[in-house]
Amino acid sequence: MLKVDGLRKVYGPLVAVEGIRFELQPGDIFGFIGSNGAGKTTTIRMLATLLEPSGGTASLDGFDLLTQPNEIRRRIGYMPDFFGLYDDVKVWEYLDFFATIYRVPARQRKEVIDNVLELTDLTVKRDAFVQSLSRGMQQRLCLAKCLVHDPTLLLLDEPASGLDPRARAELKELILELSRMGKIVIVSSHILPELSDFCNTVGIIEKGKLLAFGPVSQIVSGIRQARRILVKTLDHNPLASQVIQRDANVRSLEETPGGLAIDFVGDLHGQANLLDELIRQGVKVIEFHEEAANLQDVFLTLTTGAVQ
Amino acid sequence: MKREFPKVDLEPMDGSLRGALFANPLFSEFRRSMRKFWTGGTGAINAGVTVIAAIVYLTVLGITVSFRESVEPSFIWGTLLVFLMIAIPAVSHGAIAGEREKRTWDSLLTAPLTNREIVLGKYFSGLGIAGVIIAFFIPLGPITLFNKSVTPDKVLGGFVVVLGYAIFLQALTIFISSRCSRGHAAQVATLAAQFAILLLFPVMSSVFFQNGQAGWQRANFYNPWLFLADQLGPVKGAGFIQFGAYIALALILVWWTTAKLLTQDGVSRGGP
Repeated sequence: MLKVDGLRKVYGPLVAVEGIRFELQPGDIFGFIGSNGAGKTTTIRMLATLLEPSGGTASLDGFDLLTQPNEIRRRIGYMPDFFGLYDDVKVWEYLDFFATIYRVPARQRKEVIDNVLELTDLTVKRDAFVQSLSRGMQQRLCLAKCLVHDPTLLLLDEPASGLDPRARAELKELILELSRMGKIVIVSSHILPELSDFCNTVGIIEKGKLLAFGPVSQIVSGIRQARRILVKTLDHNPLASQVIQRDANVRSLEETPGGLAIDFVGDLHGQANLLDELIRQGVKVIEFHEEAANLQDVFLTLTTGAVQ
Repeated sequence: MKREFPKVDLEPMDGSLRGALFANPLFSEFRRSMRKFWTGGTGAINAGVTVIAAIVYLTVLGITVSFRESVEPSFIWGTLLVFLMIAIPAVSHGAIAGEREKRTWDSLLTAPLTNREIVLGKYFSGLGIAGVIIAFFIPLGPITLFNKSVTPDKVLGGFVVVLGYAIFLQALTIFISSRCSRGHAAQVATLAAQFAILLLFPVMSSVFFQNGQAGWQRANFYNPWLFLADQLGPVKGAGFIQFGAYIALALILVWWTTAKLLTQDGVSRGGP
């Protein structure tokens, strides 16, 4: 379990990160969202033991970030936003080097390297020189390097930047696989729809402060006072609007090119009752669903775009 | 399907100095630094320099054998010194600065290695080429004993001065590399520092401490060139005193690098 407790980083008068708190469990994929300069990378670098916090602490599997940094290092895999690779070695040699410095026993190294190569789909490139790999493959090799010591926590700072759509999709699948293996994955990204696709938890940070934290749907519902229900009927039946407006849970109704958009304050039973009433009144409903959580709207609502 | 990896039982960390010296996982970098010498950005230059060095070595060997009854140890050790002055910065300038330049440094710093293991790992991994050069020159020293005016203590004294300087120079190169963000900047800075140490400092020392034998002795204490040129100095035990001074300076530089190890962004990593 990762517990971040009031983590703070100050550079002179500048407060880069201000008292961030959150907890993550094995299997969680945490999307860390914020503008450039919001404090994402600073937070990730503190968790990676590269920056000493000015205040607060964090613990991973009970080991403290401040007092047991080497125990933390044995349990994390860190992929920086701008990473480099040794370009004078073969893929397996690169992984062997990191397996050695992470103190993977010599008898296990070959098996570990084979496993991470298979997981990252690089087995066929085992004997290729690192500099001959494509950008996407280098990204996967960097991730493979983070996995040789079977870490508990993966810190991926903008892992999708510079990747083509196919490489992004492959990376997403890989992260989901790592989550299924019980690893905690922290991913920072600017590409919000991508994060809401596969993160079960997100955090929105601005000016060093964590403005929101939790599952995407929970954050969205926390922002919206009402659920957004979209209703599409076969014909433009004015009766539909009348039935909807009569429902006590409906706060407002808006006609959109795609149908009717309702701000609804009721629960799921309320939604079912409304749908039932529409059908009973003879309205031919072809779509009735709650609008998917939109992380981008939430991000724009919560943040001002200010940086420090 | 949930994938399972076999459990990896990482070997325990030994944060002690003994562990850093005798069981340092970063020594595995030695093989990479050897390969990089030939295949890196300056690989072709290094290969050319090696060919020239081999020719120079064979020439020195020929002269030493041919004129064994008149050759001085300063000729052998002076040539060895030139080789080391060029080879050590050429091999080790990128030890840390090169990692920063390639942006691989932070990956190393997030590994479970103490600062001491990182710095000593870098220090000893870069000494391979220097070790090979020294091994080639060691057999030449005793040949100068055919010269009746040469005594074993002068041969040994000259050697330990050069050895001490090599140990110091590797520490200086690693220290400068740890403070630079580009490998070639570190190399230029190391060569400039050598220039200052070997020439400017002794000259200023002579000027400020004035004249004569005292000034000369002070100058050749710090400068292995002058020490060798002065036929190993007039002081009894000369060579070993300088060796001790170089080792002390090397230890200070290694300690300083370890204590102030900086990340990719130039922030102190902290920790032991």
